[in-house]
Amino acid sequence: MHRTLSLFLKIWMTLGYGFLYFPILTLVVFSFNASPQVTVWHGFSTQWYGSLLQDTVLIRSAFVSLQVAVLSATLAVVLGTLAAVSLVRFGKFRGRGLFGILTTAPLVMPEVITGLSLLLLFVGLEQTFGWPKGRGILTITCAHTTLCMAYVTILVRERLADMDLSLEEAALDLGARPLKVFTAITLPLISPSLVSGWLLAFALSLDDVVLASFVAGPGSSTLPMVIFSSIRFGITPQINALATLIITGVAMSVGIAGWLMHRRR
Amino acid sequence: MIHLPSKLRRFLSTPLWATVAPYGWGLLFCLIPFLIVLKISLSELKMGLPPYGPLVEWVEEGLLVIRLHLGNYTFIGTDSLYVLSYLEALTIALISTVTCLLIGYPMAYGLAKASPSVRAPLLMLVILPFWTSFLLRAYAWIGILSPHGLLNTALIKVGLIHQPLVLLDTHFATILGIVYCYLPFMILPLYASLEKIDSSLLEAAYDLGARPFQAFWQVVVPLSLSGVISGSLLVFIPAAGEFVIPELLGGSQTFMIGKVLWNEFFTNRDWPVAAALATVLLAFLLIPLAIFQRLQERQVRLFNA
Amino acid sequence: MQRLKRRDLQPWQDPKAKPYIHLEGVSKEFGGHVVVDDVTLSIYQGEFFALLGPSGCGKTTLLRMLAGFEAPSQGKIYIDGVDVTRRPAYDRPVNMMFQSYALFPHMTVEKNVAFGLKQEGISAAEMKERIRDVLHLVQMEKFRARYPHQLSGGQRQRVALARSLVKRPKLLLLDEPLAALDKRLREQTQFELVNIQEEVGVTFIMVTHDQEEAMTMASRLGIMDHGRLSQIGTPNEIYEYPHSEYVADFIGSINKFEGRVIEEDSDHLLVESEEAGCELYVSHSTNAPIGAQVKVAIRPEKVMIATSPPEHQRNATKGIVKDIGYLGDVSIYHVELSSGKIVLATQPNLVRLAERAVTWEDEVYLFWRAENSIVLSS
Repeated sequence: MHRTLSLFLKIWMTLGYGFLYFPILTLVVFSFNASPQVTVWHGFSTQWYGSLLQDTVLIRSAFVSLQVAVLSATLAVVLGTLAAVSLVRFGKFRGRGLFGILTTAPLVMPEVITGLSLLLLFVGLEQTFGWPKGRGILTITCAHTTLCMAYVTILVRERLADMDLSLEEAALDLGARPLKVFTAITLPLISPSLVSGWLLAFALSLDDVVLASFVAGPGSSTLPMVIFSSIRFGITPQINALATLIITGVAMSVGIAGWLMHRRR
Repeated sequence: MIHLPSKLRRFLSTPLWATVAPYGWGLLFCLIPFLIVLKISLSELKMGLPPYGPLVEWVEEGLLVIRLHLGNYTFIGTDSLYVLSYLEALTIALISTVTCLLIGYPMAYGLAKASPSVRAPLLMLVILPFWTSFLLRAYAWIGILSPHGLLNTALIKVGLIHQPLVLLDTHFATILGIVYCYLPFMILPLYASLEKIDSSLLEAAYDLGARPFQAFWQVVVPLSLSGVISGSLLVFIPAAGEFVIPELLGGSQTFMIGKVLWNEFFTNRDWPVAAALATVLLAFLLIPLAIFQRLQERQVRLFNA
Repeated sequence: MQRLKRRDLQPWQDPKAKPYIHLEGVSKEFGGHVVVDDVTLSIYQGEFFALLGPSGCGKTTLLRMLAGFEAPSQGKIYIDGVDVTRRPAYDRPVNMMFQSYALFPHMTVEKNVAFGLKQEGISAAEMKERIRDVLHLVQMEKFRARYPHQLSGGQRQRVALARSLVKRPKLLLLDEPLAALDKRLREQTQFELVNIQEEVGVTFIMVTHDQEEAMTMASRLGIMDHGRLSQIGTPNEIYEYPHSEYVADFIGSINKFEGRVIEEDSDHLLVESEEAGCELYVSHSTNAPIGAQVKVAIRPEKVMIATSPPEHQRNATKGIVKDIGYLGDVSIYHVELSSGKIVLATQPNLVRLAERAVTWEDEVYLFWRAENSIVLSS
């Protein structure tokens, strides 16, 4: 490659990665600051991590968030996989165009629109059918599943498009029925994207504040909702400590997922 | 073995039943909610819960009355606050998208050009922030940009400035936050399209006498256009309705429509106007959304991870 | 299992023989575009049949209809007397070896081979025995625990063959079975595949675009052109007696002369041809009336070259050597006749290059025997 171009790209990428990671780094560094001031360094301390454990509101909301994240990630993987298989493997069927829109549009749809419309749906359902009674974990899970399903659908669809169609045909040819082909051939071969889809859905659900704010009810505040209401009034080292924990957790799971996918090849 | 009627057996052996669950979910949680938003945007504000009036009413003598209330829309159209919020949201989204593209394209190109051994970890480093909390990443900028934040402290220490600059609670901070949070959404589809380009195409262009820049502009850029478009849409559409970032970094001067809608709904509790605002925003985004859907149909790669 | 030798097996000449695979007027349309057009074909038990044609001629679609991946738009498919036209792929006594081999990447060689047997629900002991036998047949016993990505191209091909043979299908379909191998390995594998087919006695249908491959391996060929079967016959029949210009051009190279019939009898045809610069005498009957425009064809290796004029006048002409293609064992002479027509003549290189009698710009005489030329319908 051209020398100057390659040098330019190297510098640009270094700056780009610096831009991506510098703010995260400041969060991590100041979470170990001894002083409650977030901009001046006063020595190393882990007191903010200790104080996290005493914050019962935070811990309760974290528990709500984890429940919602596990449920919606699992549901999203199941629904998203079925949607992707339908889109890639079933050819043309009636209503396929609408199906494509419904399963992938939430990916880009502004969250305020999705959040508002889902809330109005739940209110309308409760008025008409008396279900769901009030709002809480159930409604947040439904909202997050809708969002995460779009991501999973796209991830799995891209994986399926890469897969040699003749593998599935070979299994049919060797006498396996369609359902068996799906469980014995298709599913194991797309499993890496199911794992990364689940982890991504989990991370998205754990992060979302807008959808949850719309469809949560009293007493079902999620962790991001609690964080959001506290950081609207400025920054606290306690949130920095929490952020460090979350970022470490995400980095580790992404690392493990990446390593698993790498090893499979 | 259970004997099933042949019709049922045929239904089970055609795999289309697998579509039923995601289709049903999409209809219930995607299509119907939008129809409800549309309906409520046409109804009147009322005290009580839910705070809107019915569209269809049985008046005495079994007379069915449908009341379409267009007041919410005329209200939005005549109040300059709303009009300006839409304009501001679309402008900020556009500037952020272009900035993301300018920063992201060379990064994605560098990634695609990198040797395979370093490519995987570098790609991972782009994906990682994509997975990390939006909220916390926007929050990190408060500590950097605030009057006594890292940046001002550092600049004063170096002696470049004597008074802290007003960085937080500005449009600049909002755009910075959006660019920062959405950059991975731009890089990943760009990388997916650039990585597919056969390097012998560039070599052929050089061989035919093109200078590096010409070769890049005439061969690489056109072939990566699908990535440019999908990356831009992945940034522009959600950014136009963004709430969290302008709320945290934009301060009281920033009136992006997402923020206005949020306040209309949570503070003023005016559901019909909020619904009308959402409907109009959706109308603005209809064309970008249609293009995004087109790309989906043509199976343009977004993540390729 | 009874071992059948290729030369013993010519059931298509036996009017009492019953076809094992029968296609009756099979057509396939994709969105208004006819890909396979009214194909009727009978194949007999134990045959090695090759479908040959350029890409896009419909041969792969025909194969996929036999496998059950596509349903014919029209027509019927019978296997061993049973109508299988509407049967799904998993319910047919047919197995296929894919061009990409389609080995399941997440299964070992043994698991890949076992996959088909598991769907039949046979006993573990029998399964083990059959897997052992088939891996022995393709000489892959040692690699049973390997994954596909740990095998070479030739080894994958063997596993794919074993996986489709272990089900003991009535019909084995091979989609370009050797296309993924390099030339040397391909030639070696051709004979192995034929030997294995003779050993197991399964009926094979192979799709290929490689005429050499088809000629070497198949007992009979079907030449396909735009979805139609142009000609069916043994390799020898197809090469020596092509019915049409299309078939003649597709298999090997051939010289063609336009001319007009001036004499017609039960045992010969005499054609006057300006292009050839001589009268052409064809010594077998063809029903072309006097005055009809025909094309007479002769294969290059049947054209002889001499520096002095031959004794007879018919089937003899002269020209100037314009080009010589040296292939080592043979040379191809491009001779320009006075009409401007270029005639190809292949000669074995019996002497070294330097001692060759004929060279560029020499005037030479070309001639051939009357029984070696044929008349083509256009």
